[in-house]
Amino acid sequence: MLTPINSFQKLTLSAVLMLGAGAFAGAHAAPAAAPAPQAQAQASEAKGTVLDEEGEPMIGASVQVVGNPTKGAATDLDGNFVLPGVASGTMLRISAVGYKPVEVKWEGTPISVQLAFDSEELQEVVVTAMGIQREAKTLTYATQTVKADEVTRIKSNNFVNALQGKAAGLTITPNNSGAGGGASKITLRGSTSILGTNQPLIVIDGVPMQDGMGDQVSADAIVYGGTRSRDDLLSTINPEDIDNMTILKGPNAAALYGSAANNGVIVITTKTGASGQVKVDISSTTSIDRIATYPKTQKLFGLDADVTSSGRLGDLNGWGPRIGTRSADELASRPYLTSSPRNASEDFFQTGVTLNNGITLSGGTDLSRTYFSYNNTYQTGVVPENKFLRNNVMLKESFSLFNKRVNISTSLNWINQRTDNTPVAGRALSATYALYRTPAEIDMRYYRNHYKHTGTMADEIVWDGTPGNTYGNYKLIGQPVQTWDFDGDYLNNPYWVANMIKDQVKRDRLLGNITLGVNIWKNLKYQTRFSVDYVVTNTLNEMYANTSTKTMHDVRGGRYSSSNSRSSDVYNDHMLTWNDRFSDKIDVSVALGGNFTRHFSRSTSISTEIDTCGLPNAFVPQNNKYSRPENPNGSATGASDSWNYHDWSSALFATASVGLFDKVYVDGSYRLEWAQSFQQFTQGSGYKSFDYYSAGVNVLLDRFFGPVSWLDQLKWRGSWSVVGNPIPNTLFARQTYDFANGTVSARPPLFDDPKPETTTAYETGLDVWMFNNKFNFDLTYYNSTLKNQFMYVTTANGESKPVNTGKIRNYGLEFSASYRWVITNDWSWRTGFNVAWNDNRILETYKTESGAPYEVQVGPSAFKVKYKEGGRYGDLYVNSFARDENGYIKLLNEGDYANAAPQMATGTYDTFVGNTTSPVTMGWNNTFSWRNLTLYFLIDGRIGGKVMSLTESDMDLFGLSQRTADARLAAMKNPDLQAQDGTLLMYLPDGSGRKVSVRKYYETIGGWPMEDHVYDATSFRMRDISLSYEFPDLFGKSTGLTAQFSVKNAFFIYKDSPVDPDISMTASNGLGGIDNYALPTTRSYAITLKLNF
Amino acid sequence: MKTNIFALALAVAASTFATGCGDRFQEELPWMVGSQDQMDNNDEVGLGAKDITVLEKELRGAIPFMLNYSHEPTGTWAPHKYQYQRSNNVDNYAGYWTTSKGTFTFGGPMPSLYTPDNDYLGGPLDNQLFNNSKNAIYYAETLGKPEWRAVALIIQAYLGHELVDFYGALPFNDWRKMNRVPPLKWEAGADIYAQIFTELDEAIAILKERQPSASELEKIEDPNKTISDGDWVRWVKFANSIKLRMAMNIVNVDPTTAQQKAEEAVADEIGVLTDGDRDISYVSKDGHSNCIYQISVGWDDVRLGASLENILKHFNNPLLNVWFDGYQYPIVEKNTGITAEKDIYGIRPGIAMINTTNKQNNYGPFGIVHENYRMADQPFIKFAEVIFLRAEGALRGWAMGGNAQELYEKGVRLMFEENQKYTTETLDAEKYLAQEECEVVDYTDPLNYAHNIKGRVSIGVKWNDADDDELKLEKIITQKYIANFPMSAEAWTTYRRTGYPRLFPVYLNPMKPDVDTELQLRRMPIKVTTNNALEMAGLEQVLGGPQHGGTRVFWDNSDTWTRGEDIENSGFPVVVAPNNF
Repeated sequence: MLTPINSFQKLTLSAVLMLGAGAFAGAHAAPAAAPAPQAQAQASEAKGTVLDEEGEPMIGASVQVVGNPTKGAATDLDGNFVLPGVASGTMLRISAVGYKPVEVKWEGTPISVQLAFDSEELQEVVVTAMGIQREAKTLTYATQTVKADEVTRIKSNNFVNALQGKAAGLTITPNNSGAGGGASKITLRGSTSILGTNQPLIVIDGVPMQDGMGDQVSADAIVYGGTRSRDDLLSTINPEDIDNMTILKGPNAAALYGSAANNGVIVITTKTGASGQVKVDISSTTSIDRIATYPKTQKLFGLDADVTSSGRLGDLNGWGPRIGTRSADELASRPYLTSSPRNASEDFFQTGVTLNNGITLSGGTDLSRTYFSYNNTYQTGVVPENKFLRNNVMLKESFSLFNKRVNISTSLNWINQRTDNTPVAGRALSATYALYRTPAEIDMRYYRNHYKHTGTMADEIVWDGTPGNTYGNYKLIGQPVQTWDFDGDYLNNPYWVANMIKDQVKRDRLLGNITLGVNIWKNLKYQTRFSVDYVVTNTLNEMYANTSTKTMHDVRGGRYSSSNSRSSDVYNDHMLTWNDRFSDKIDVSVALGGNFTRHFSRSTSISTEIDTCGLPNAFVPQNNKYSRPENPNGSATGASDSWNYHDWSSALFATASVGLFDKVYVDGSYRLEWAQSFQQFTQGSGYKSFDYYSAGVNVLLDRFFGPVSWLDQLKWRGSWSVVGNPIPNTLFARQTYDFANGTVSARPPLFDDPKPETTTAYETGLDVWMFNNKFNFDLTYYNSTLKNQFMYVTTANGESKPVNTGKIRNYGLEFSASYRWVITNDWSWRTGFNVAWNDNRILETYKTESGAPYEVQVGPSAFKVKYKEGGRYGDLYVNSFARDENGYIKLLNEGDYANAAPQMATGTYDTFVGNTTSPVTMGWNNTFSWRNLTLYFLIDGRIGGKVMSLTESDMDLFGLSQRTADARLAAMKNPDLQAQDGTLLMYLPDGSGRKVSVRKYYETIGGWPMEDHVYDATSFRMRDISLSYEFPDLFGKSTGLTAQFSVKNAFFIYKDSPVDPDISMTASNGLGGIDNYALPTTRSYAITLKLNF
Repeated sequence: MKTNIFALALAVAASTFATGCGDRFQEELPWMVGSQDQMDNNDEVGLGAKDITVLEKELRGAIPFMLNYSHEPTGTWAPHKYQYQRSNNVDNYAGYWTTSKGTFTFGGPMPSLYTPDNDYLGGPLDNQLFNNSKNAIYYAETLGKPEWRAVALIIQAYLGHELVDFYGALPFNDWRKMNRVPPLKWEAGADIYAQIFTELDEAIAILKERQPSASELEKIEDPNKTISDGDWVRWVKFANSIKLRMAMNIVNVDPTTAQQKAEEAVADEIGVLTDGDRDISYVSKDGHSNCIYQISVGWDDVRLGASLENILKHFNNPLLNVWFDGYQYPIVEKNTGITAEKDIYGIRPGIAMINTTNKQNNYGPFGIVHENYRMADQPFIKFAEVIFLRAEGALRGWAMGGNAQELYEKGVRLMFEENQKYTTETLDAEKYLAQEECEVVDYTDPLNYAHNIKGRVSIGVKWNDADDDELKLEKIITQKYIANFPMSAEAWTTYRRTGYPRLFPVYLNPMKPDVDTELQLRRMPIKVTTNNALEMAGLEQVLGGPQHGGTRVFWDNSDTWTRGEDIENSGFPVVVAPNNF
């Protein structure tokens, strides 16, 4: 039988808890449980009863004297405890595993305490915008809090990835960029901005952070390759330092941040030192990464080349004879040929290892607390020579002065990391390009130790045979030369790419923060924060001579580049807060303040093409002291300096929340903001500012019905907000000098009436807690429209003009529910489920001045992402077959089987193939506990959406896809499908009965992706599984050891595409879900040990 | 204490807000012109309208855009621009080059030459020259230097008339005005030609009056990329040469004006390019190779065209081995397995290109740019062209300062003379000129015999007074075609006007039926998309026909297409060339 909890008692507990956490803002002043008598020095025997949530006696709960941990007792079978020698007025701490600890004062009368589950969120204090803490039940918008153990349970180098599948409406797409992990794309409630960011704002300990997104692979580079997706600053944070994260999903929650709050906010609170005895936590994780699914290629047909000829064989493909049909002479002619098919990828990729070790220390007194942590991460990737190393040090000190009227806390965080040889995505300079194109007839193991040799005159790169030795370099005699029989654009030996292109990124980041809080008078408080984020990044890239960046060995003497950049972000805010409760009925909470951010950055880079003039493979810029009279690329050494970049923004803000009769809460916020980017348009008219606002209401409906036994809370909430995002801080419509020849460009088109990108959002929701808080669900509807999108459009005369235009709307539903069930004292089950549905619509696009709608197209020549009125954000278009009036595929050279080929439409990209964003995403997590053993798993999934693979289109082009082999096999067996000259034929897939050569068909459709290379992204996967065992009191009281085995990315329950649908090569807008020779997804197995004492 | 803390807090807050906003304006980049507080956000014109030194620098940036070889003053690497402007379109139509790739990482697919809607069809429509010379047109005179208006008129004339030749119409004045708001007013080719003729006269008159000095000219011309060499007279010669070329272009539709303009140009006191004049061209002084070298050798994107190969072989012209070379990889015929003789081969236009090129497979070993031609000059108008234009004029009975034979032979000699610098072999013009008859050479594709085609050029080189005018014209034009290499715009225009030289048709023609394979492409269609639909709206009206590749531009007079010849031994006559007289 369920026993309703006395709400009075609950409030008391929560108030105590809040004070204990040092929080203010509680909408309730704590009604004292009983008048506190004067402390009596006289010791007596403290006793009482501890009940669990169901009101049943709690066995084995620990009761301790605060400040004297050696003095304690445990409750007996009836939940009773007796603790002798306790002076009246002493604080007792009552705790039990899985429950929230409670501190009560022993006042001489027996205590009865009911413990609440730890996961209890109903009375939870939530950190909202600007670090203001509010009780969850007073909020007028959707938030979700993720606790530390969720972040560190299954560790990822980038802690954000721990949020995958955990919150409705939150999509995390990690970059698949090898060891180091790279940046992750974070989207809350869909994307809207085409050129700006769609990432939520990240706030750490009250300070908004630049996302620090490193260079991402662009649309062109997805196809071309040659560049690496770098990480972001967010990923550098040590997951162990995180205490909790609150996701403010919509702009409504984030309106106080004004700018950049368009996309929601993730508020991260880091751990602080706790007073009391020194606590030490040691954690160590060892994990190994294996490729989860290797790319599949056909194993029937081999290389189309005369292998007995001398010299190189040219293109890598699978258009040759059946594997196993080559003569012994042919097989012997090349050392890597095999008659038993292999998979080059399986032979190439290695097992990655991640070691993560950390220690945290915390302790202190009531007035001074210290937190220190050190964490070391070392990772080796699945691609040889790809490594990552990171050290994180965090030191936090907090002091209370003047009888706790003044609180000062400081933190200093130092991050040092180094990433070696991040794999390149795409074709050029990527190991995967040649690897995936390698037919099964080639044994890649041969090349592992034979990817280079010492150059002699016999090598083409040394003496290439063309007049003038155009691409050779005599100086490469004695230098390492690539061993590789294949050329074609971008082809390099994968081992050469892994070993002979050295890429290194080193980064140091110092993050310092000081917060001063003053209790001015009664409930009036002042707080100021000052924070500096200083980042220095160095990159170095060395490419050995005779690497092919495009054509054969076009790097003639080696290539060197190095860059340095530094950036500083300074943040400062001031805030006055006041809250009070009147007549025990009305709660008022007000905050006023201002903030101020400044950003400085500068970067320099230098690069040298070491061609025949210098010393090959000496990677310094001075290696080009000599003149290069006939170099096609002009100067060999290039240098650039970004010049100083400054940016600032300032704002004044106010927010207030009023609670009426503990039943209805109303809040609102206003922000007036200045951003530097707009000031260039204000000649003679002062500073230009913009304002943003929000308003919300929530009603605790249950309070109106009176107590209902099974209903704990029924909250309805609704809110509305207008927030914005400033235009980029660059100079518009300016003429520039050209350094080379002193010319001046014409004045570019003006930016008429620049405005911030503005999001107007509504949301409403129900938050329901039932069955004694065992079950709760939250249902939210939101509707968020971005207008004044910042874009460049092409003018009638072909120039690029900046405009604020268009409307893109996201609306959707989010549902999340959780349930916990204590089956027996030993058994419990906790589960959480979330699902979100989002629909995106482009309501309006730019209209030219004559009213014609404008269609924004982004993308390389392989495909386009089109932003069309009525379409969706990120709609993908490709070129498909050109068809005649009957719908039949047009054929060129019809009837001439050797040469006939289907005709593809070109240049128009008229075929819509879908959108890479799935409208429905969901996650389901489960925790089963049996005594000290815990099993956790997370399933997440997506329904709808598409994934496009340029790799698969190339597999068709190069005769490596299974279907190219099947078609050939079918033709071999069917005389109808053989032309007179032996060409293998197939029927055109248009019902016309016409035949075309298998090779011509696939070579045509494989040139660029078409609809065949777009797959359904619907998938469900077992994202995480972990099994952990806790050894309590292993080395004495309160020293515990937890051992855990976990698997990340365990397996797919359902998948429809040949590639991982969550593939992401870049965090760039609109380009998720596109694969082009991306690294395969990995699965990791980890063992974690956590020791605390 | 309480008060102190409060006061302290207030002081901190106050001091912060006093400096709350940072510097109002952004850090000025030293390479930006003007300053933020000067910029008038309603004034689209730019500083060149007020400041003559800025105007000069703008104009200096405009000139290289006449044809973007590798002189783009800003940003992206110019060979890519050249691929859009010439290499993947006009260079192919003229038969000089054939694109050897079916897909491009940047630029997209072009599986065969006449692929409708490929991205290169709009390539030449680059109006940066117009943008950068706008202030020179409208403000140079006000700012006291009308000579810069003259120069701007000349460069706009050069680009403007070539674009009219490619597309048949142009929003010439809207471009000049930098009209950014659609619709654009497309103007008929004939009107633009008429305007340009007048403006060239204006430019010539201004220059003759102002006679800008070498130091003045250096303000608008980079000494490394000069076409005037500091001598204003060369600008006049350039203007007159353009006028002569344009005059000849309209000879079929308006012979009277054609003759008048051509004679004016030649008779002008300064006149057209003459003996001792170097071409109107950029000389590679600063270590930049000719961009076609990068495109051909560096990127393997183009190979020698079948027509040029065939014509050079037909005349035994030694320039084949001067300009071109091949990689030393065997070429094996696909079906017969026959290995071809070592030679320099061209690619038939319009064959299906699927794979990318490398040096040894497929068309890789076909003709590339010779190493010696790597630093070749990059011309806008060649002296050779002017001579042959005069030869044609003389043939037509115009006063061209010489008779047709003299000028023809002079042109052929010049072709050898000016290319002597690229080779150590002696180029013997006289022996070449003496060839009375030349064997018809059939084109063979050593990689795929399906592309073979009968040779079409049967003429000799030697001038024969007894020949009829049509044959004389074919000789003049065919030798001009060689001498004027690599000026593909002129070659394609002349081919469409005269039917000479007899260029090979495309192998595959996906533009059927709009474009007749034998008549070949008559103009470049422009891709119409949602975004440019409005800009394109007025085009067909002034074009006088549908906006496809079969519609003729205004000077391409179909009435003259009457002659039939038997080609390919097909047994029936096919229209291949007009009667030019």
